[in-house]
Amino acid sequence: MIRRLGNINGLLLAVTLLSFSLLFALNVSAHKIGGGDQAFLEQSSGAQVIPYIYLGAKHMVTGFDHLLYLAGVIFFLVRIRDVAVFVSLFALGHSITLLWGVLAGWHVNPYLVDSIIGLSVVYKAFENLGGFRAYFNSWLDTRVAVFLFGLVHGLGLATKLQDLKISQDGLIANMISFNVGVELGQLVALTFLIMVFGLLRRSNQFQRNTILANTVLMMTGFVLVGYQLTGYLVLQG
Amino acid sequence: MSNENVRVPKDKSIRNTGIAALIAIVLLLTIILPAEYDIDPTGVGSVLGIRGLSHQAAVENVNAEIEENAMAAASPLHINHQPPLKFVDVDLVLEPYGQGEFKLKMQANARLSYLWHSGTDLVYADLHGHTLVVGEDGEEEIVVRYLETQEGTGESGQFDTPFGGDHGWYFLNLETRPINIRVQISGNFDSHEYIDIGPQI
Repeated sequence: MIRRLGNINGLLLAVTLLSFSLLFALNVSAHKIGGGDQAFLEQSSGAQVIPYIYLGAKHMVTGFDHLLYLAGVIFFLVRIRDVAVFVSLFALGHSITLLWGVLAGWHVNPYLVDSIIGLSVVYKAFENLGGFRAYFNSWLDTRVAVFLFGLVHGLGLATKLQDLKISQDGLIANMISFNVGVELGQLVALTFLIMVFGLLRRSNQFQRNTILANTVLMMTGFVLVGYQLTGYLVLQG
Repeated sequence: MSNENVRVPKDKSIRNTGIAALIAIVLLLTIILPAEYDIDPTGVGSVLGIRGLSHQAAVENVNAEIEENAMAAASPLHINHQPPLKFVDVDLVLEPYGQGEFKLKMQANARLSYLWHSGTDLVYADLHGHTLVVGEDGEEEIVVRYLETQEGTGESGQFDTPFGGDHGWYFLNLETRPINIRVQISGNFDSHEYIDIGPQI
């Protein structure tokens, strides 16, 4: 039985690594072009379903902040059903603000939104360390928190989409395509994360290292906050 | 429901938050802020040679310049600063898989009308501009791509330079035989040159 599971994991690992490296390779070549994505989109108008799906997925897979938060969210989730509940709440949250924000033409400061996204990583790590349970009894339900932070992550996604100077012509189709891409990218990232956690959980080290892992996670969250806030002060001030 | 497995003594979460914040601050001050924003309060960034690594500030400067020029372009007076209209009509010869760069020195907001064609021979072409920007640690080059032709035999159009500097095409002969590319240009450019880069290996 274990052997069979191992084979399935091996297959999953291969598939995920392949899709990861493919996305990464595409991303690297896109970077070499230097704003090529943007130039392409600015030259074209109307509905561009596949390109926007790709960009949404690319943003999710290469967007460190979303991945770190997701890693924190599923850190202690063993059952796939729990993963599905939490990830759905997160997806619901970020879809609402992504679609609404772009449609309503909100222009939120990207540095400030991204620093709050960094804070969401810190928050989740603190929750995983048991901080809220120990010091703030009956604090916000974890599911409510995931939904609320989903709203914030969606605002961040909206600013990225608006950065692409999305044209009014075909706006809704492009926006929804981007959102679909985000969810697909999230699925790829999740598959990878679940597998990694699955492998780690099998070792005896996992229990002992949860504190260390979440402290490191929190540290990266703090780094994101500092990085984005400095960007706000230096480049927007 | 998600935290059933954690058994953390009461004081650890706060203590670890402190440790995490402390490490983050140290990393930010010594490595990340120097590299990303050219802010180096400790001097470690300079010692490690990563100060100003991401050119972010430089890129922002160019963006600001482009925006400024775009606004200035809206004023009709601006056209007076441009050199007189010139014409070029040349035949470039590219060896098999040969590469060349046809460049024009132009000021910001200069207009160019162009036509290039290679008959039936396939060419990769890349219309771009580059310029040097003075950052704190000296000059660095900024490149902006306007139009890319993956496999084409010609292209015509018009464009206005968003900033002063070199603007032009990189050509790559995709055929296994020598080809000619005819380039015809009219516009307010200062000078032009063609650099043969040689075959791509």
